Amino acid sequence: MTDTAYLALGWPQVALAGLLLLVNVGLSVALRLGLAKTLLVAGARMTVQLVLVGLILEWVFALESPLPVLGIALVMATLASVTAANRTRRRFRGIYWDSLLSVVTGSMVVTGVALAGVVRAEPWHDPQYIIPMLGMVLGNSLNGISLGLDRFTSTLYDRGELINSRLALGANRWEAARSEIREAIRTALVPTINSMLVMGVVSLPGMMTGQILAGAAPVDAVRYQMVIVFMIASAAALSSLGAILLAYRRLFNDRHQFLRHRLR
Amino acid sequence: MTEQATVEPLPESPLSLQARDLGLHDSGRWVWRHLSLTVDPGERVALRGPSGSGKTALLLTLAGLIPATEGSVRLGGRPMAQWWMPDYRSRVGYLAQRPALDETDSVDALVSAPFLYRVRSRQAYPREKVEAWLHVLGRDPGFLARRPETLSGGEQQVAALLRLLATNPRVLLLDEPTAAMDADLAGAVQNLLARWQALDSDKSWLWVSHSAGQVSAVADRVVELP
Repeated sequence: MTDTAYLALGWPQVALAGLLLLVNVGLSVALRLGLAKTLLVAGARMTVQLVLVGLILEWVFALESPLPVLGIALVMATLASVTAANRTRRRFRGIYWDSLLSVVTGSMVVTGVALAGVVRAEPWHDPQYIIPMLGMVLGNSLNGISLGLDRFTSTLYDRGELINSRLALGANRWEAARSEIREAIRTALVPTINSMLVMGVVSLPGMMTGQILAGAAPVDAVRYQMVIVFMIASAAALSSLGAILLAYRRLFNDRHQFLRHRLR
Repeated sequence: MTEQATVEPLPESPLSLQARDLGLHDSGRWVWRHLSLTVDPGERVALRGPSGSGKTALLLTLAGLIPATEGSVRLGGRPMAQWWMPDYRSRVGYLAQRPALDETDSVDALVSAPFLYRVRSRQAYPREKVEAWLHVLGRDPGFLARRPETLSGGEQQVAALLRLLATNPRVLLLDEPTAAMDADLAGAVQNLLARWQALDSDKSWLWVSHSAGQVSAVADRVVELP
């Protein structure tokens, strides 16, 4: 890593960049897309949310204590799990708990292993590492869970008679749901796999770009990025698999009956 | 993830299906209540009742696919709760009125699919029997090579019936099995089922039908739902 610091930006410079949003607004007005208001609201929300997060992170970074860091991690995980469950069209009682359990297990395990074994941050709760890494892992777990659960519950709902016909012919509950479970897990993992396939060729990952802008040597940034991608992929796989299997246990009882009425 | 059998399978003895004091509560009302019926080995029973009287719900309950709110069902004298359900359901075979068919390349793959289930891990798919049944229905074995999505509604019912018969159940729960068929095919299916039952006179069925002619042809006894 070089000693040269990055070029810090002031608020006037941010405001100047913000003017670029006006290009989109102009396009929307000219082409009557009806998006001008939405664009402005989204831009304003992004600004407020990031300023708040910046302030909170400054505060946490200054505390150097594990409890606030863990508190923030838990809030982030809870928000991710609620969002994931809310994006599922067919829900069932307990879906929020299932989502939380899968998010917490998948992302905490992966982040823990990466922090303790790979990055070896000192101390382990150094927010400079744990917060951004957990954020990226959670974002991808959230996507995986919401895509996988949505697919799982909607195919089960639509194929209720098919599932019952398999059970009627002697399938046990696992045999009756296996192909829907497989489809759901594939659906959950497709975005992660696709992004790995084109990474560096079509897209330059945001975190790597950020590190390079902040003065890191590109090779260092690449190594970090690879660690992050492996974390993201395994956390997304673990947490979506967990969420789908928990849903399976709620929707099929040990009498090998499919409880379709639990899906709303 | 696998499922373990919780009880030893019964020997292939004649099995009677008994329902005692069954009740099903759904969406704030009783679909039926205090309902008792027995289908003894070798008995051919018709089930009739107006639309909405819960005939399909009764078959689903007897097949163990939906839980009854109250009452009990016994097969061969053993309460349903003591059966491993895949084992129970391979003896009590349910045929839906509009059969749901998995996507497969051929009718043959569809009909043989239940032999991939653990409950039949030691049984072989009896393809010769299926071809013989097709012969009774006046169809050639080429039917088995067809793609399921090219079948008409009546032919789908035939494919689902062949799939069920191949699993050799002791008690059939048939929900208007010929509803989507023309009169000729329906007659051939009745004939096939009569022959199937005559070969092993311990086998029995509960057959939902709206047609008085069919009821008198396929049943020794009629159960009416109010």
